[in-house]
This record gives sequence, C-alpha cells and structure tokens, in this order.
Amino acid sequence: MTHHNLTTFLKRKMPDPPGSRIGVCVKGCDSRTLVALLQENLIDKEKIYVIGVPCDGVVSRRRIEKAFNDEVVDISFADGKVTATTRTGESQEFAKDDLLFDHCKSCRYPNPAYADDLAADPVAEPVDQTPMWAGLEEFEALSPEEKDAKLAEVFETCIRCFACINVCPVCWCWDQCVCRSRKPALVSQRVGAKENLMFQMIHMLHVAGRCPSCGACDRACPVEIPLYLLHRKMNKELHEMLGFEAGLSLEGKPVFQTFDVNDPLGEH
Amino acid sequence: MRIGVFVCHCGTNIAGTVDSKGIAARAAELKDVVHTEDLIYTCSEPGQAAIEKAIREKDLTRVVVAACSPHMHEVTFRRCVDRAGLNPYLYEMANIREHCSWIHDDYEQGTEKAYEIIKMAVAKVRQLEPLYSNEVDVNKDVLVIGGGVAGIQTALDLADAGLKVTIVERETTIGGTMARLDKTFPTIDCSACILTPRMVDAAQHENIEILAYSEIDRVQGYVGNFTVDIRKKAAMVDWTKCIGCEICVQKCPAKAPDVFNVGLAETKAIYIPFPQAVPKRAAIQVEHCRWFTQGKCRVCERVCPADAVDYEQKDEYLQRQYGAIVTATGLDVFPWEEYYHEYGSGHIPDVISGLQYERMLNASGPTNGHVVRPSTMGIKGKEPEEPKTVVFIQCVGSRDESVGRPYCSSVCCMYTAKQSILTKSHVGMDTEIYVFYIDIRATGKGYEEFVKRAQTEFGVKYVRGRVSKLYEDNGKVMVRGMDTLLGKQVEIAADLVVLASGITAADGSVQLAQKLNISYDEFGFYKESHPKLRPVETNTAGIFLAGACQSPKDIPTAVAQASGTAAKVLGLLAKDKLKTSPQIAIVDQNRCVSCWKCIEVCPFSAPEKQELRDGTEKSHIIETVCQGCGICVATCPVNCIELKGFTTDQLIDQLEEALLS
Repeated sequence: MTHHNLTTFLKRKMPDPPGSRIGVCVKGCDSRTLVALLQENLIDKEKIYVIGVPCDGVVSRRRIEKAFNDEVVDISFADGKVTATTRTGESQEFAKDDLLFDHCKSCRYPNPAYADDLAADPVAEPVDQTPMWAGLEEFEALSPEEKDAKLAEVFETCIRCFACINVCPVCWCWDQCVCRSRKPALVSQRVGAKENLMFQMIHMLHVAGRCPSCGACDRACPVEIPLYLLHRKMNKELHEMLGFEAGLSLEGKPVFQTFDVNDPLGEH
Repeated sequence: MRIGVFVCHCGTNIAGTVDSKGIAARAAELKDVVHTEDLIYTCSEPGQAAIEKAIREKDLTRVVVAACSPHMHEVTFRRCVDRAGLNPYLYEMANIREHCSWIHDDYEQGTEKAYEIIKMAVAKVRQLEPLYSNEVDVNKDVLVIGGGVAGIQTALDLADAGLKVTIVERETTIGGTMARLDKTFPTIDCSACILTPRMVDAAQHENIEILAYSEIDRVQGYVGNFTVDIRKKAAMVDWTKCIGCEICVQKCPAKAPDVFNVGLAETKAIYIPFPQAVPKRAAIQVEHCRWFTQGKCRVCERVCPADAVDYEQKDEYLQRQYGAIVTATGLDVFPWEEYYHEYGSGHIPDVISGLQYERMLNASGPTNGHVVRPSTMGIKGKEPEEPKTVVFIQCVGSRDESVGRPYCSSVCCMYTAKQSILTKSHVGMDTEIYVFYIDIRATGKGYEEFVKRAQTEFGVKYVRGRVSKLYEDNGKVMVRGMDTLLGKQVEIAADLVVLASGITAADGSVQLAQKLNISYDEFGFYKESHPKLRPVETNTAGIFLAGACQSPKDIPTAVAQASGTAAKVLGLLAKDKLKTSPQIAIVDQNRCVSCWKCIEVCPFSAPEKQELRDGTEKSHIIETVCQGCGICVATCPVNCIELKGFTTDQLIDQLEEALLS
C-alpha cells in the first residue's frame, strides 16, 4: 500500500473543466486529513471522488532498506510476512508487524471517515484504546531542562528542506509559508537547533487542531527527525484538554474554530 | 529613531517595589533610546507636561511610558503624545504596576522584572508604525433591556433629552421587582403609588416604545451601530386589539400559579399580572390553558369584547438598530427552598419569603393586605388566622458561603425593619416580633434612624444570631437559634416566619451577557468597566449597566445609577460621528486562501468576501466594523491577517527581547 498521504496533492489547483473531478484514494488516516480540509472549506467536495481503502497498517520502507546494502526493487506481502528483494537478487523475509509504523500500531481509525466508495470491506476497528498515545512516555518523563536538551538534539540535524511541510496535507500556505517569509520575520537564515525548532514549532502550531497524525512528515524527513512525535504530543494535549481529534466527521469543526463555555478548560 | 522612556513612581505604588529612578537611568543605554526620565505621577498634569516637553525638545519619534495598565491610562498618554504632535500610535505602555510592583514584594527582583518589561516595550515601539483613525456614523436610538424602575428611569431620562428609546421587557408588563413591593423604606410610602405614574409616563412618552413580553434574541455590531434581533413572544392575544378589560380573566375556567404573587394565590391561564400593569394587556399561559392542553374551551375568545384572542399567534421577530444598549435586567429572589433544608425547604406553609410577605402586606395582594398564617388560608367556613408571634430571619441567601452567596444583598436589613413595622400596624402593636440578624447594615440616608424606630417605637425585638432550625410542632413553627449576645440558645414558638431572602442575579442574566459580549461575575451579576471610575459602563463599548443587574441595590441607588447611565449614554450619543480605533485587522490578500474562517469566528461580522479583478474571492475586513479583538488573526490558518499595533513582527521582537537577550 502507498506510503503517501495522497490528499496532499489536492493542494494543487482543482480541475478546470466544469463537472470534472479528481479521484483520490485514502486510507483511514488520509481520510481524516481530507475531512479536516473539507471541514475548513479548503477543498470542494463536489470536485473530488474519494475511494476509501480500509487499511491494516503500512510498513516502513525505510526499515526494510536498512536491512540491505543494496537498492530494494521488490517487496511482496503474504500471510503477515513481507519479502523484500534487492537489485542483486538478495532476498529477505520479515514479520509484517516488525515493519509497521509506530502510529499504525496504535491506529484507532483504520477505516476511512469519509469516502464515496470503498475499495474493500472495512477492517475490524481496534477495541483496545490504551496505546493511543504510545511512544510519548519517555519524552514526557523528562524535566523541562532535559526536554530542551532533547529537542535541541533532535532538531540539530534539521536542514529546513521543507519536505515535511510540502507533504503535509493540512499545511496550506503554499509558497506563502511564513517560514520562508522575511515579513513577518519568524525564522531567520541562521543555522542552529533553536532556529530549526522555531521552524518546526510554527508548522506544529499551524496544524494544531487540524493534524490527524497521518505521519507523512515523519516519512518524508530525509534526516529521520521523529516529527510525528511532536505532532502527536500536541494531539494528545488537545485530546486531553478538549476531547478533540481532528477530521472525524464532516459535521465537525476544527477545534480552534469552536467555542463552548462548558468545555473542560472552563474559560469564561 | 529617537525613543523616549518615561518611568512612573506612582507615588509608592510602583516605587515601593521598583527602583523607578534606577531603571530610568539604565533604560538610557538601550538602543535608540535618547531620553529617559522618572516621574512621581506620570499621569498628573506636570507628568504629562514633562512628556510633551521631551517630545518637542528632544525631537522624540517613539515614546514608552512605564506605568500602570493600558486599561487605566493608555488613552491618557495617547492624547498626551498626540498633543505634542507625534502620531498617538507611536507610543507603547509598559505595565510595571499591575504586572510587577503590585504583585511582587522583593525590591531587587521587582526592579529587574520592571526593567525587562521596559526592554520589551522598547523592542516593540521600534517596530510601531503611525496609525490613523477613521470615523463612523452613530445611530442615536437606545435599547433598554428590562423595564424595572432602573430601566424606566434611564429610558425617561434619555427620552426627555430627545433620544428614541425602546424598552424590551420579558414579562407582559413593565414595573419589575418594585411593582411587587408594598411600601418602600425608610419613608413607608406606597411603592405602586410612586412607580406606576412613572410606568405610565414611559408608556405615554412620544420617544419611548415599550416591547413587553419580548426577549433579546441576538446582538451584533458595535458601539454606535448595534443590530439587535428581538423576539416578541406570542401572547395568544392581539395586543393591538386588547383593551385590558379583564373580562377574559374573570371568565377563564383554568387556574394557574400566580407568579406575580409568588405562589401565594392562583391566577387564571389568561392573566394580567396586576391592576396597574403597563401595558395592560392579557396573555395566555399555554401550559395551563384548557384549549392548548385539552383542545376545548375557547371561553376567552367568546367573551372578549374586542375580538383580540388569537390562538394561532406565533412569536414575532423584529430587527432594530441602536447606537447604545443599557442592560437593566434587575434581580431575582434567592431560591432559598433549594438550599435551606434546615428551614424546611419550603414545605412548612407558615415559612415564607420576604417577597411573599410583601405581597401579603399589599392591599391588592392575595390577602388584600391582611397578614394571615398561610396554613390557615383557603379553609372553608373558617377565617384565616392572624399571627400573634412573627419571626424574621435575616441573611437567608446572603453573607452565607455555605450556599455560595458570600455577598450582602444590601436591602434585607431595611426591608425586614420595614416589614416588622408594617406588621405591627396591620396586626396590632401587641404582636410579638423577633428579628434574627448577623449585623444591621443601615447605611443609607435615614436608614439607621428607621431601624432604631422599629426597635424603640415599635418594640421589635432584635436577636443577634443565626437560626439553626425551623420545625413544625403543635400548629406552631418552632424557631431554634442562638442569641450570641446573651450566649445562650433560644427557642420561639412562632405563628409566621418570614425569611429575608437575598438578591440573586436575574434568571438568564448569563445567557444575555453572552449575547451582549459583556463580562459577568461568578454570581451572574454584570461587571462594570471600573468599580470606581467607570461604574455604569461595561468593557464592551456602547453597552451600559443600570440597577441591580450589576449588584444588589435598593431603589434610590438603582434610580441614581440609572440616571448616571443615562448621562453616559447621552455623552456617547451627543456626537454625530465616532472615531474608530485604527488598531484593527488587515488581510494580506495575496496570501488569503479563501477558507472564510475569519468570517465564521468574527463576533462583529467585520470580514467579508471581496471579489478581485481576476474573479477570485478573498477576505476583506471592513475597517469601521472591526473592533481589533484579534480572533481572526489567531484563527487564520495561513497567517495572512495582521492586527495593526500588534503585528507578528512587533510581538516577535518583544518576545525575543524577553527570551533571548
């Protein structure tokens, strides 16, 4: 199954000929980014045709490639096993579960939240909800100083290549991104972890309440920064504070566009 | 760039915790700062003169005033900067009082923090750009919400001055709480006799329109230009035809609880609350009407000489424009039954509230002014009994943290004294009267003398202490309490117990506040803009307060405030144009992605869709409508809206100064 969250390509100009539509295939997580965009009027429902793909998890191509010194040219799936073959014919078998992305392991919405048609029967929804925010415990246990140090370490290697931003389906500023702008001057050209962190924080805050944790940024990062952890932490906070998860239904609204005096923050 | 920094001592308010002189000297070393000065009272005349002088002589192009909160004096110094010929928006306030000296007591750390705050303000002021105000037309009509004595007073004052006023009242008649009172303290004059002429004045005034049985549905707009949706509730009676003859009320066969008489009597399903009602128009309470509940009857329709009954009537919606809004929504009586289980939770018939007793004392009340024991009312062949011993209990729902009401209701001491005197005159001087009190609060004109008269001339026995329990025994209400002056338990067998139930915010006050976008406290009372200096204004420009919706008040205070409110409204509406703040949001249309979130979140309907030459639609903020609240700025997913005077660059520089330097 495709790594990519194809809804990213809906950022392109919508088809011009009247009545024509763009077809898009979505997994559970992709469909939630799509719903988030629809909730925000950023794309027109009439101009797309959505084929939902119930998903049993995506394997990390990067993990497979790391097992070889050569280019992987073929990957096949059978009975919970993944077989990868390189250009030179070297072949190895993996257990699929070992290759799944972390967020796939804790996925609660494998079936599309919205689709015009389904490509297969829905898969079983996970019952156990405990691993929802798995993977954050280690970071959360750190003291504020240790967190600073950890973030500095993680973001030291960021080259601000914009890959994470370019693949992010809910990141919608196109080439007007404030991270590229000199007015307002939020990010400078100075090199360093702080500047990199600012760059990532802007992305995180701009997609806060809109990011359904599809993990596209994580997969795209050429230097393997665990960006998804940053977004997942934000999503966890929003869920715990406001009971909010992005893109669950077309009727919903982005969290920062709603105001309820009875919400758990009790702000009034 | 030539920046001047002025550091205030505010007497010792700031200088007690912050070395104002020292930081003024240090600020001189900051980049672009060419003049610094510390002033004892910067807001005083010499203080402001010093700023003006420095701007002129040192040719300053930016000004920082480090003093109190912008809420307090931003406008003061803006005018001062303007007088000196500098654009008034090239000035920034550093709050070193509320944000620093008042909340810290360490002199060194306080000083250091104040200096940091000043550094941040200097960083921001470098980025400021001159801004220019616009002007907007002002609608001179006024909406008064609530037709009690405060609302009537404000409306009459405004109408006499020539403004058109609408009173929106949710009941079928204006009059409010005062219309239900029998006599007023300390003069014992008849409440209705002084109120009803004013109600009639309001009804007959050419500049006043009364929309009774109506509620506020929605409020949009801003000072000078409010758009208000009003819902006229269906009375099931055509009020243009109804003549208030009450024949329908006499003939109606369906009984209903009498809200006006606080449940002491019954009224009919079709009713007029009291004889002097204004407007005197009948309304059907559909939940008690036989036609609406059982599908037969229609007696009122048959007997109505004016053919006014209309069972098909629907709620009607009006949309009106106003320049200012006055809330005068008044009060409700504390629902003691829900809280005071030791007083019987309302199950002991001879324990009644102060307002119920007020109705009983009233000649047009349920007992025609006779004081009787409710337990003996309505028994066939028997005259109701008069009480021989009456006990009043003060502070029921006031000054009692156990029921969440720590405040004093301010009127109960006085109305209890009044009711005790009236009891003696209605029932006889030999009536035994006890008043249980915590303290006597009698601070108004003639109030203390009035209480003294009750005690000496009328022989009312005041017992200092709380009542711990009321229970029925052998046809009496046993009152068990403590006399804290004698330090012993007392028990009195009473025929009637009157609870001086306190004042609480009117039902629905919070919902209305949310529609109006004004602040309210934890009890639902509306917050004034400043407790001393802006007591009748809210923090929302153009919305004012009158009467007990702000806090418990007696009649003279409510009326005085209502006139004060009228003066403030007149001051606002005396101008034909209002200057708008230039600190508003502006869209960078190149970057707008037309998601219209700004339109959805704006409480003032300031953003609109604007079609560009290439046919695309982009967001555009209507300058005169925007109030500069910044919600759209925070909501915009692509950061293409900036708030002038609070731009991202300005705030980033301020933050960098705080965090990085």
